[in-house]
Amino acid sequence: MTGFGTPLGAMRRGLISAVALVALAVPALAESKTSLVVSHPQEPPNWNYLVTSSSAIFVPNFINVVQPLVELLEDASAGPMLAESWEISEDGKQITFKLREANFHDGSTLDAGDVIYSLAKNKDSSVAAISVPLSVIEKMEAVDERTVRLSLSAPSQRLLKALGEAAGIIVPEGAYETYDPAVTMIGTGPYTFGEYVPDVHLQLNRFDGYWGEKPFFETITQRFISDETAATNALLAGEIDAVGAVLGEGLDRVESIAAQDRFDVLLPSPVEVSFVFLSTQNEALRNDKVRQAIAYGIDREALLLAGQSGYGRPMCQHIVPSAEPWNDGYCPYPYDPAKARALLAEAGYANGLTLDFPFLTVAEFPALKEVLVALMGDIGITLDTRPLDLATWLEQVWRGESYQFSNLTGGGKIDGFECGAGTEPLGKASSADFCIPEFDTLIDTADAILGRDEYIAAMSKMARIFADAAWEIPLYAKSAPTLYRADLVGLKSYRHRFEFDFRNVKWAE
Amino acid sequence: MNARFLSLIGRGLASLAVSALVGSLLVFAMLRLLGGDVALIILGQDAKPDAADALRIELGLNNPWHVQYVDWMRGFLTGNLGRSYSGGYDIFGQIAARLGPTLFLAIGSLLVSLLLALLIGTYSAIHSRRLRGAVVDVGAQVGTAIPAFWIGLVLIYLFSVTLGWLPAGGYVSPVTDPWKSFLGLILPIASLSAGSTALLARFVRSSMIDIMEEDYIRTGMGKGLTFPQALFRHGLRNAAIPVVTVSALQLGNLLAGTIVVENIFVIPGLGRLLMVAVYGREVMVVQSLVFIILLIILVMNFCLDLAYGLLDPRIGDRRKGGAHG
Repeated sequence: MTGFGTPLGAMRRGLISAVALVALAVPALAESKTSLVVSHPQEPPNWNYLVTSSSAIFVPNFINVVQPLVELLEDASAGPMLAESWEISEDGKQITFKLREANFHDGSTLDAGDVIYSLAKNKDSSVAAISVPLSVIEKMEAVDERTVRLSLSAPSQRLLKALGEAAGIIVPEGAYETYDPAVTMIGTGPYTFGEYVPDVHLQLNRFDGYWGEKPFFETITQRFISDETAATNALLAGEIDAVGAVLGEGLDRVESIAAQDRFDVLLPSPVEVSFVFLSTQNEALRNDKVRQAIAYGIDREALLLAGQSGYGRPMCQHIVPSAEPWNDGYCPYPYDPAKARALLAEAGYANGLTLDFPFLTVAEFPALKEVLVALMGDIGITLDTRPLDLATWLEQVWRGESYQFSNLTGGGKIDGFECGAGTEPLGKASSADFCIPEFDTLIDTADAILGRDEYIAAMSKMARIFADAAWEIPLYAKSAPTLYRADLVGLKSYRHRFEFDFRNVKWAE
Repeated sequence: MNARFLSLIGRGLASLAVSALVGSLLVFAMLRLLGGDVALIILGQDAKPDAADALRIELGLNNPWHVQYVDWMRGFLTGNLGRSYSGGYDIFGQIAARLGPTLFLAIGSLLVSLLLALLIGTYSAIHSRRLRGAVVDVGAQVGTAIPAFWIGLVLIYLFSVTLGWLPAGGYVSPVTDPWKSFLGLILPIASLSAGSTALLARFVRSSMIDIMEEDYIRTGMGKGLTFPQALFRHGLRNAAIPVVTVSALQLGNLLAGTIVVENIFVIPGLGRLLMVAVYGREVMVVQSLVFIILLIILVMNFCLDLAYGLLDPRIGDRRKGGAHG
């Protein structure tokens, strides 16, 4: 058998050589200091924000590539961005914007025509969150090359804020007719939209013609890594410098990674709310006491722990983002299983109730499902669970209304629930059992209130009425931690969307 | 000989064409039964209620099924599959760009598996009555049971996170940087090939054990060869036929395995494209990809049939019902 030693010996020698070669290669993995690599867990289906409703479009690009007319600041007030200043008429029906001098990435300069063109396109968007706040604009006129006046059908509290979000994005005039917005973006930001390889990365390149201070990094590679274990491993291995947002299974590792000296964690203010919603088509659920029983049976702390490893804060009202000034902590149905059981008995369901619960099989939803089933079981409600992927869930639940009990996490505003007019399943209902005339009236009128304090009071009342009705039961406001190298500084501590603002990010000196 | 071989090719091609046609119909029909709607995925949760219907019409999703099937087949045969509904990318171009990483991964894993399986299986067979042979055999059995994603995660933790020797993910084309490409493929290939190595090693072992008893091995040894020399010179070729068969079948498993491994190692191959397309209900992308994978397996089987015909003339004759050699 001695002759057999030859191939095995060769194999052994080969393995040793391979290991030695690999060890020699380690320096090749060293990074460039003027470039940054960040991963994101979600990639949008395309980059056309006028057609596609996906927050993933804005994460890498908002402010970095495309910029809005005004910038939303930490206290949610509007600051200058492409508009240097603005004046609102006394009756609140005219806003005049003075534009700054800025260049677009295609070489053209910003003028009033670009703003009028962009706002008209945004107003026509099929995405309700973009077009609805702009519907109040009746007329747009160029006062001069760098002054735009908007005439409104009524005063609008939400308009200025919307102009600091996607509805306020300004592109060069004629842009959507000259390039494909599904595959590229052109704006005025400090970075240009560079190489995009679907499913791999989007590269941003520093724009020399930027109107503001030049950012530190020459290039920023934004990799799309949906598997959060892979993303956190890449961070630990030094292949990426930050994980932009941890949303799902990676949350369990955030604390242990942040505990290491070489990494840090940022917890931006929550921009989404996780909630349960109930069908208006179900006889039992039309009974107020049944809905209230379900709401009393919700243990928000347990759900926050299961769904987000505790990253976020429990919430009883649908207020997005949760930092809005009308969030006063009102909670009509705190966790009280005994009261829930009593209400259910009063409603005639002492022997229990079974509800169809289609749930999403992605992100935090399977974990939330387990806790919801246990919580509802504890008060005598059996949830008949059906696992669905996003596409099927959207078709059957969101659009098809084939559900009795379901849940979602999203950044939709409360006015989406307006009876008979909204985009949410609840909003599609026009049943008299569901409609809350006072709530609907407030949605229609609050925006036109001129005084800030009166507006906040109206919004607060609206949120309370909706929470009391318990058709939709908020669970918590969701935080998405950012993990990053400890020597990276300048990350913005707040967010109004899921944007990752690179303007001030640099290496610590 | 030539007529027999031409007949073998003719029958193989006919079988391939029929299988491909049936396969294309099955893939097309099954995707229509899947449910879900790309229009809703594109528009998201915040779309106006009537936007989905308008988008479906715009994307041609309301056309009759037979029209959609004929359009797809026409596009497939002419290399024009159109553009992705939501991403707007050229589907054929995207598939072509991603074929490379997946084939590198799948074929690389197959070759590594074959090489290691021959060594491990032969070693195990030679020492089958000793403890070390049994240990190798048990190792192979355990190897078939460990999923690729678990091996991948362990390897990343060990070689990327702890030792920092190899990249934890990503893909570099060998054309751009052969060395980085090689380094990047080591862990994915190791993960993907572990299971098939173990499986193939068990086939090699049992084939070798059968062959060790054959007369020609003893004859070879009688002519002055050592046992391993006789085994390598005369035994390996005979043991190869079942191993080649299983290897070809393994290619299908390896291609399926790339879906998981590409996701763990963030490799932009067909597997990741397929997964993203399924979730996004990009039916044109999914059906084209599945059909391409089906074609690869069918062509492999066709080549295998030809190889059998060449390696062992009895096989072709048997299929004709002819005389045994």
